[in-house]
Amino acid sequence: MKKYLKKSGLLTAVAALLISMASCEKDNVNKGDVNNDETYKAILKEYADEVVVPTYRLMAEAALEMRTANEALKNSPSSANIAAAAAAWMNARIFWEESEAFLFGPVGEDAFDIDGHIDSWPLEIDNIDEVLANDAAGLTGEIAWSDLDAEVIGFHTTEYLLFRNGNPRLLEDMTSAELKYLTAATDALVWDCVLAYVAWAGEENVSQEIRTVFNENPDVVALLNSSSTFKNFADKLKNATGNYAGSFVAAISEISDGAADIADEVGATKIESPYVNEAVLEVESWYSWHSLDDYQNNIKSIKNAYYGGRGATSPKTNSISAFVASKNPQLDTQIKAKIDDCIAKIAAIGTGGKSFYEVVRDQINAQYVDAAVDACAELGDFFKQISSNIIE
Amino acid sequence: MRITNKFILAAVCLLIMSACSNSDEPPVKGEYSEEYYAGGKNGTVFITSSFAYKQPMPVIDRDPNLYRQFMRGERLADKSFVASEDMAYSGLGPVYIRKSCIACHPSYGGHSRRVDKYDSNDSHCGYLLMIYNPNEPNLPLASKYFTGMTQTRAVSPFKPPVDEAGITIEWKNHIDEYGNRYEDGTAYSLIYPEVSIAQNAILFDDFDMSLHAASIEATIGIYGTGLLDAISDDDLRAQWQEEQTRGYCAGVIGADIDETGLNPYFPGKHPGRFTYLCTRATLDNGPGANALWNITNVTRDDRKYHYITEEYAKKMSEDTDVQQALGKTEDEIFDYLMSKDLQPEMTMDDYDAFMVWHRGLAVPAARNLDDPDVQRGKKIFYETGCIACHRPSWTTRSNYTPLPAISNQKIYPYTDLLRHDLDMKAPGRVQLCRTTPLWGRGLMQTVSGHTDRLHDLRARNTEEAILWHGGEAKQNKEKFLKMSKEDRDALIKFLDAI
Repeated sequence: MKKYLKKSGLLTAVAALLISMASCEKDNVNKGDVNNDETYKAILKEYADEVVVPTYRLMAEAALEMRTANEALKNSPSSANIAAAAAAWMNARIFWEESEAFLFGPVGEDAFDIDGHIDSWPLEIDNIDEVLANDAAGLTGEIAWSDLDAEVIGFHTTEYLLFRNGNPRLLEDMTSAELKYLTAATDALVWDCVLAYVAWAGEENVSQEIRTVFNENPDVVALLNSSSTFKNFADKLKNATGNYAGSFVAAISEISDGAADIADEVGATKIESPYVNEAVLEVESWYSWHSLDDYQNNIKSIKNAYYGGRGATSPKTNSISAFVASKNPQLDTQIKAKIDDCIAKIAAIGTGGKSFYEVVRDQINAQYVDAAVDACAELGDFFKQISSNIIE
Repeated sequence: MRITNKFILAAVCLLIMSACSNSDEPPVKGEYSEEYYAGGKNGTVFITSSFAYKQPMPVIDRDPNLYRQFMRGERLADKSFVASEDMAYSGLGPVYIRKSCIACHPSYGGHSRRVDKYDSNDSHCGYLLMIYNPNEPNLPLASKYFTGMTQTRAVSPFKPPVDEAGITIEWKNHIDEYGNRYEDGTAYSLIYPEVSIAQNAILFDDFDMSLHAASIEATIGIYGTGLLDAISDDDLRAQWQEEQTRGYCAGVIGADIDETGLNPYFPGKHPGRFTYLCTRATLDNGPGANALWNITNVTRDDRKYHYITEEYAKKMSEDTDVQQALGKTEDEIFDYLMSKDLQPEMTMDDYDAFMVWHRGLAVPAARNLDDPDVQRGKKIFYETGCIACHRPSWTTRSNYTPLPAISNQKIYPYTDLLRHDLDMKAPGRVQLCRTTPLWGRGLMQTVSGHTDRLHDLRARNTEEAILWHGGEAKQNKEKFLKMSKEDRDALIKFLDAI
């Protein structure tokens, strides 16, 4: 609970004091008498149906648009088609980053490891280049998905094939082998994105188009069928069944713990670690240079989760924000302000029109980096307080 | 500016703490008894979600530098290392077991799950493979040819010592001497693995697999290992001593390991306490500190050589495919593979950060201890004699210098850190297994989506784990078989609560 005390200024510390006092009062409540299950159930329903599932639906649809764009590029290479493929990649990337406040359940490493499979960085460039040197002979989407290591597929591999130095690549630099690799890797990406969506939503609840794509690769279907625990996961979360064994406290904590996890990761891991270690190679989205968008979209993911709706500008009735507000209005106000503050401060890292890659490489904008790192840490601590002091 | 603020902040900190209580303990959730703090006051987090095994201890969370190192260390555990040079996290190979820690330690504490194929590219397969001689005492590893943890992956043009396609894991049914029935007639089922490796999957022509055996071992939870490290040698030896004289369940203590030059905090000899076979004595020369190097073969200043066997180096250096691909002679390749002075691929700053993470992973608090069923289960746990080996609590040493805040902590790991014989069917190399810490295991279903347990994940849930307790724990198992369903459920509910 105290992490932000060390990281930020006096104002926050004073605010912490107030929150702490409020939580002391709450601690006097006899916990045995509290049962918020119905409230939590309503919040979880809103969260799953209005935030998580739609985000994965949009991600799956965006991946399919990537597939269309990359097929077009392969069949008819042109600068315009490169631009369209690059735009489709950027668009799909938004929804992935907007899903990172809920990296639990089907996408997690204990389940289908979709996170590891589609967002691996670094890349095993030597292996990619070796396949390209052999004209990507025999490479199919099925092989890419089933047999290739995560370090040679996914978002960053497709990014490597589409971008250089922050821009879409030039037509004359792209080889037919790269286009073959791109479409195979995109198929794998499509299946992973569709798997995430189907696993959360349930196959019976997705469109015919998505169902068809999901059933394109029997190995993908078999993977989902291998674990009943992670099938129809939205239903399980909403009803605190399956892994939650009836504990709505555990289920609702996923929202705040998931938000805390990504807030900490954005600040300390994604931003601070490469910066202080002067490790340009550790900056993700290395080829498209859009890391700062990624990080802001991560915080937007938190905002969506907290407000109970994608793109919501005010909290929904059945949101965790509304629940926090009912217990500790000041904390709720602070969280809402801090979310926007984080987004603004991450954007400010690029002051001077710089990408995060350039900021790390040139070791500039230190004060903006510090401010963003502190803001993310404070946000993470606020969410940990929800788990430790509000949810019961 | 920050230094000035530190004083102000310290003052505010004190205010906050005094606002809640007069003690100097960290703020706590509600009024919980000591036993809820499985990892002690400074090493426990109150959390029940799927993020339960990933949290920093409160002491890490409160210190900006430790927190920064923790997060850096977490990243190193999460990331796959790669062989490509001039990449982030370069240094993988030439021959290796997995690319990352998380490959076998999903969520850092959940086990990987039981699988029926040894495929290191499958994120669910977190097994290590052991090849050993079953005909000699102590089941020695075939270490002339294979590294202790068998490598099954290599960076081209090098070849893996064992081709994973030739490894077979077969799950077999086991009928115990009670006919797989409780006294009340309820049936149960048990399964165990048999592992074999085809001769043609072995790289070495002169290695005869038919004279050897193979077994698999799953990972052990990482959270709380800092606290286990903080138990003093004296206390561990005292536990062992007591077990030798009590007339039952005499545990075997890990052999002394001289860690002079290997552990900067506690040089000298220490009894083994980590791994199933207690082959590692301290965290700073422990399974994690070594695994970061020997699982990936990423070198660093204190490990400037490969985890490799001379037979492998010979085989690869003689291989004309390898010579041709690298454009090097046999001697050059051999010398490179066996070099003791390789360029470090990981900085010691990163290694230190990794160790802060490793040491600083908190134990999730116990849950529902006041529930009447849990209370009943606890009584049964004690009365059935489970605590003979699953020792409930320890107090950490008073001077744990690597992380002083976790000194003097009363912790509840439920292990004696000693090895016992459970007389399992086909246990592989783990015939005498260290008593597994039970803390936090009840959260496995939420975190991992499964409850596969024991050293090779043969138990599919807590109940089966109990039912595999034979040998030294035979009487205890028999008591369990005689219990009513209500009592069995209560016992399991207690185990799920701690």
